[in-house]
Formats: sequence, structure tokens, C-alpha cells
Amino acid sequence: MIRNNSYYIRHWYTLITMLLSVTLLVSCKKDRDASLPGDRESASVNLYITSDVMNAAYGPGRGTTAAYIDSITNHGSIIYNTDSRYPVFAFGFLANPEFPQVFDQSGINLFTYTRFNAGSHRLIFTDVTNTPIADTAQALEGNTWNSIYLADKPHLSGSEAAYTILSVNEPRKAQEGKTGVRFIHLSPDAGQLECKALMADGTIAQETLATVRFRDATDYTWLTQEQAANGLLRIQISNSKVNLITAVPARPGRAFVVVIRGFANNTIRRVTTGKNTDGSQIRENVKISANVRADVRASY
Amino acid sequence: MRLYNLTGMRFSLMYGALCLVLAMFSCKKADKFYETLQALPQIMNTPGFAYKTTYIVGDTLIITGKLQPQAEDFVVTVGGVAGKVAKVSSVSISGTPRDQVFVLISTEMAGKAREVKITSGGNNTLGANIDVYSEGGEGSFAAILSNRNVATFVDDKNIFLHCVNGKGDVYYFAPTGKKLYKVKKDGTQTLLYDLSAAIQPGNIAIDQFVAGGVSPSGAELYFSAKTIAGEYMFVSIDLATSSLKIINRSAAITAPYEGDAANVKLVVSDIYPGENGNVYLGLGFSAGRDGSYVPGAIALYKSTDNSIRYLFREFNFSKDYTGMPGVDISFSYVMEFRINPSENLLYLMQASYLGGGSTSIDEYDLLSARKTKTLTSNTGSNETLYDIVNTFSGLGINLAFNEPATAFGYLPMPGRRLQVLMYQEIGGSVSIANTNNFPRWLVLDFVEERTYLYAQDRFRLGSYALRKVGQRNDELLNYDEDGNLYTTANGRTTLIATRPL
Repeated sequence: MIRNNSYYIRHWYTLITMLLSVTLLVSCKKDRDASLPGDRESASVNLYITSDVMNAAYGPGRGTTAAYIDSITNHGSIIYNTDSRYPVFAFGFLANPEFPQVFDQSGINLFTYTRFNAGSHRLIFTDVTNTPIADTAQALEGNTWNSIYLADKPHLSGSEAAYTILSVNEPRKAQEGKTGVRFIHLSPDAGQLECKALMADGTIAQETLATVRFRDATDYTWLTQEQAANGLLRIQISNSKVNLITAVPARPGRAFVVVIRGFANNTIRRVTTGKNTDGSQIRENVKISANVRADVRASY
Repeated sequence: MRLYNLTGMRFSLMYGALCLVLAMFSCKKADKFYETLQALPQIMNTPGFAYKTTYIVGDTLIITGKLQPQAEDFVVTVGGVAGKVAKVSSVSISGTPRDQVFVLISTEMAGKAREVKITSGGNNTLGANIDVYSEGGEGSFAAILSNRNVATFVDDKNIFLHCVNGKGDVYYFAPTGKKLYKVKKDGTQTLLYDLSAAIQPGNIAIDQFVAGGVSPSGAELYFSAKTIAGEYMFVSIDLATSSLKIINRSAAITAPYEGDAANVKLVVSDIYPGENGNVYLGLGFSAGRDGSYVPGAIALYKSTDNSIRYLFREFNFSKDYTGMPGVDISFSYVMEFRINPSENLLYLMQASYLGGGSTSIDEYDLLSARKTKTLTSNTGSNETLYDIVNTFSGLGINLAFNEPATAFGYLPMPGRRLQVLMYQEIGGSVSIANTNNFPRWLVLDFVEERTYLYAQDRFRLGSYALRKVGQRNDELLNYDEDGNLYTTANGRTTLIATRPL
């Protein structure tokens, strides 16, 4: 029996050694997909505020506005932009209308995203008194990039401030040798606008790149580099009352969003701008000067 | 049982032997690979030891690493060109000795993305590519530039008109006789227009000439003036027929701002005629960082359809003008500005908001009101100020504004370039500047994002100086077909031009 035992032990030793060496050989060949927990179920979100009413009403030193996902939190009357618990937005001179915030000296920001679990979410924007001013449900599909815009809603001058939310899907793809441009129309009163390329000598191209109305977000148009001047691809956005010339950097393989914003006419809105010590709201009529313009954002 | 036992023993012995043989081979292989690794030249890319990405011909490329420079076949090539090794030394980095090789960058290496290759002991290692620029660039002189006197003026009150057309023409308004003159590059002066009598049509007398410009072809002259009635006039003169046309008369800037040039209400403070009848206008008067003049808005006048369109509005200035159109821009830190009307470019030269004497030049595309580039000058002291030929990011230079003794000119040249004369004085001394081989003409190239020398050696100014004179300094005005530069000198009393020696 003793002899038998040592025989088995010796054989086991050989077998285990062989097995181990085979495992070693095979293990090197196996590739494992690295994946982050929840990777496949998340959606990326970027928030951008184009409201000129907010710009006029919540200027420097007047606190910030915030955004909440799913439920609003009560945490006092005014949030300051040093509060990192929520996406916050500042206006006026140190305008920070975007979340996640981007610091970029070049002036054209490649915007970034924050990650949420995919699915339906409530998205709530608040004013400086932390009162909801826009509240929507957004269906966020897994593995998508979503740029969500808060804009002024068309309304009569003198009426209560009103806002609208637009969610735009970003494909995050490029075409080699070409520069992508998409147009998002968020000017409440500019009306239908024609977007055309300018040739290198400043003359306007015949072909219309896009025709946009309020809340329209076009697909990407891919421009070649022949019309580039001063390192830019110039674009005219116009109708009978608006004549805007803007430009995107002539960078092949990149894509840019041209956000058309601002009012075409001087207007007045009624806005809550703060709270008195007794808790009552401070109500103000704010004047917004006509200033249709284009923000250029780098999306890819 | 015994047989079984034996077979088992034999099997494990064989297996053991096999393992041993494999292990022996693997050791040999590893040893050999270790030797190969040891012999491979290795370049350090640790910050502080990694080499720069851009060089000017004459610079030294310093490579640090385990380089085996003792090897007989040791060579460093840049873009396939073997570099002359000026020095080999050893440095101790965290207690480990490392080789340092100093390679001279030669003319043949010039170009973008040049491959850096080290060969040593039959092994090659590729380093990061580098850009190599020559000291000169487009339009550079192979000669030393001296000067010649073109014209002398009766006083220092002349107002020079903007016309950078590459023909050496200089136009000016002489306030003493209220006359407009042209100076040809040979120095001959011709009277263009007499504004001393009341202007016809309209019978309006000029009180003060504000600004003017001449189209690049020399066909059309534009000026702005204040009338004795206190209004502002924007006027064009067809120089071929001497016919004068009042484009606009306004008492102040107010609505309507845009549209037909005859109907808008504007005050033109600066004029830059470009191609195709486009004229860029400074509107209103605002004050820059150091109190010098800057406009309150920038607009485009199209002579083809006689229209005015706003491009920029200074955001503080425009607060007083309800409904003023244009893209918001801040001139709070602006000290000087330049416009290149033919290429639709605006240059804002600003004191840095960071303070500490650093400055920046922002380049904007005027048509789309978009910033295209920023050049920040890292003003330092002593040696750091003399690295004036470099890429924009690597410059050591004092790009001062409204201080001609330090940096003078900033003349817009074709191809997104600015021409500047660096360091007439260093620390207030001309002789210290001369000892350091200054002043030198330097080109700021906004396409390649680098600077280059416009001529050999220092500029010979002789008895002339380009000075600061109250609010109006000497002005670099134009260049000619040969690339010679035309500037006022000695406090706007003379006109001189460069001349190759």
C-alpha cells in the first residue's frame, strides 16, 4: 500500500507539471476584453445653455443655476459655482454655460461628456433660486453621446421667461480630409435661416448647406478645404433680417457644431432673480438686446 | 509493479531533461536579448531631458540617454543628414550616468517632421521627429539693411493714411495747410487734394482731419474729418478724376447702425481700404489699456453696394449704444491694433491680463469675427529675451506695444505676417542693443507660427531713431516691390526706407 501511494504521488506530480505547462502555453494566447463595470449600459451627456435671458438676468455676482437628474435636491436657496455636487452654470462676464466645463485657451472647446446609466431620466434645470424652470424626460440609449441644450423659448416681449430643452445625438465620427459642420438653431425669433459656405475670396457659394428653423439640428455636412481662408471655413447664416458670418476651423478630420443663438429683436422677459430675506421672490423685468450670433463648438 | 515504476521514473526523468534543455535555451536567448538591449542606443524622453521639437539652423540638438557615443559607427542623422557632433559629455541623472550628445543643426536639415536617428554599434534607434527652420523666410534679405532718406517733413503733425500695398507709396494729410500729399518711393511729393477751402459739394469746411486710407491700387482715397459744425464726414476721393463724394455725415453714432451708408449714423475713426471695394472702418473713440486710441466698434463698408455692416462691438463701449450690432469683443487690454484689409485680418496687441509684463497678439478673421491665433510673448529678462527666432511657443522676446525703442512697427505683410523691429534699445541703451547685434527686423509668421529674420545682422539706423512721440509714435507705413520698408523716423519728421548694403 505504501508503495502504491508513492507511485500515485509521483504520477500526480508529473501530470500536474504537464497540465501547468500546457496551461501556461495556452494562457498567453488568450485575449480578454477589458470592460468597465456598466460600460455597455451607459449614455454620455453634455449640457449647454444658450439662454440670453439667463445671461441678462443672472449676471455677475448673482449666483448660478443648476441641473438635476431624476430628482431635485433641496439644499438652500442659492448654489454658487464652487458647488461641485451638481452641474452648475454661471452667467455674465465669467460665463460658464456648459457642463462638463471645458478650459481651453484656443477659444474653440472640444466638448466633453458626463456618464449616466442608459434609460429614461428626468432632467431638471433650475433658476438662481433653485426653482425648476425646465423639466423633461430624456430617453438616453446605451452607448450614445447626447448634447442637451437649454434655450429661450419664443414668446411675446414682456412675458414670463420660458425655456425649451433640445437633445441632440452626436455621432462622434469624422471623414478623412473633410471638416464636419452641423447647425443647431436656437434663436427664438430669428425665423428660418439659410446656411451657405463662403468661398476663400469672401463671395457666397451658390449651394445651400442647410435651411434651419427654431429647434432644428441638422446632420453633419462635410466640407472640403478649398474654401479655407485664414485657417477657417467661413459660413454665412442669413435671412431677410439676419446676416451673420461665422467660421469653423479648417481642420480636416474634425467636426464642429454651429449653435445659432440670441434674439433677433430687443425683448423683455419677466424673471425671478433672487429671494428677499423674508423668502419672497425678487421679480424683475430684464431687457435683452438683439444679438443673433453663433457659438462654435468642437464635437470631434 | 517494478516495470510500471520504472516507466514512471523514466518518464519524469525525460520530462525533467526536456525542461532543463528548454530552460538552458531560454536563458541563452534572454541573455542574448539582454545584450542586444544593452547595445541599443536609448533616448531619454523624461521631461527636462527630452529634446525640443523645433530648431532653427545653427541651434544645437541635445540628446540625453544611453547612447554609446564611443562606438566607432556612432552617428546622429536629422532628416537623413548626418549631424556634426560638437560635444559628448556625461551627466548623472538620479545617480545613473547618462550620455549627452550635442549635435549641430545645419542648413541641409531644414524642413518639417525630420526624422532623428541614432546609429551606434550597428543598432539604430529612432527618436521623435523635429521641425527645423532656417533663420530667414519668405522675402528675407541675404544682405544687411541700412537706410536712405526718402523725404523730410516740415513738422511732426502729419497724419499718415493707411495704405500697405507693396509699392512703397506713402500718403499723408498735412494739418498746417490742410492738404493731402503722396510721396513716391523716389521721394517726389505730389499734392493730391486741397481741403483748406470748404468742401464741394455741400460747402462744408473741415475743422479736424481724423483718419484716412488709400485703396491698394491707389485709385480711391477715403478720409474721415470733423466739420466746423461739429459733425463727422466720411468721404471718398477718386484720385484719377479728383472727384470728391461724401459717403456719410453724422453728428454721432446711433441707430440705424447698418444698411445704406448714406442713411446710417456713424463716426469713422479709422480707415483701412482693402481689395474689391471693401473698406474696414474703426468707429467711435475708445481708450486702450494705456490710454491710447482704440475704436469702439469695427465695421465693413462695401463701396460696391454702399453698405455698412458691423463686425465687432467693444462690449463696454456698446453698452451706451442700444441695439448696436456686431460680435462682442473686449479692448480693455488692447494697446495697439493693426488691420490687414486685403487678407481680412485684425491684430489686437494686448497687455496680458495675467500681468507681469507679458503681452499677446490675437489674430482675428474680420469677415467671420473669429479668433484664428494667439501669440503670447513670454517676456523674461536678460538672455531669455534674445531667443527671438523660434516658434511662437518657444519665443523668448519682449513684444512691447507703444514702446518703439523695444519693439517697433508691426506692419501687416501679405501671408498673415507682421514686420517688427526688435530692440533699438536694451535697458534704455542703444549701445547695449548694438553689442547684442540689435536692432533686427523680425517677421512674425502667423501661418507657420514662428518668427524669422528679415535681414542679415543688425539694421543700420545711423542717426535715425524710431521714437515714441506723445500719442502718435513713428509709424512703419509700407514696403515696396523689393521688400524694402518705409517708415517715419525721428519723431515723424522724416521718411526713411531700408536699403540693402
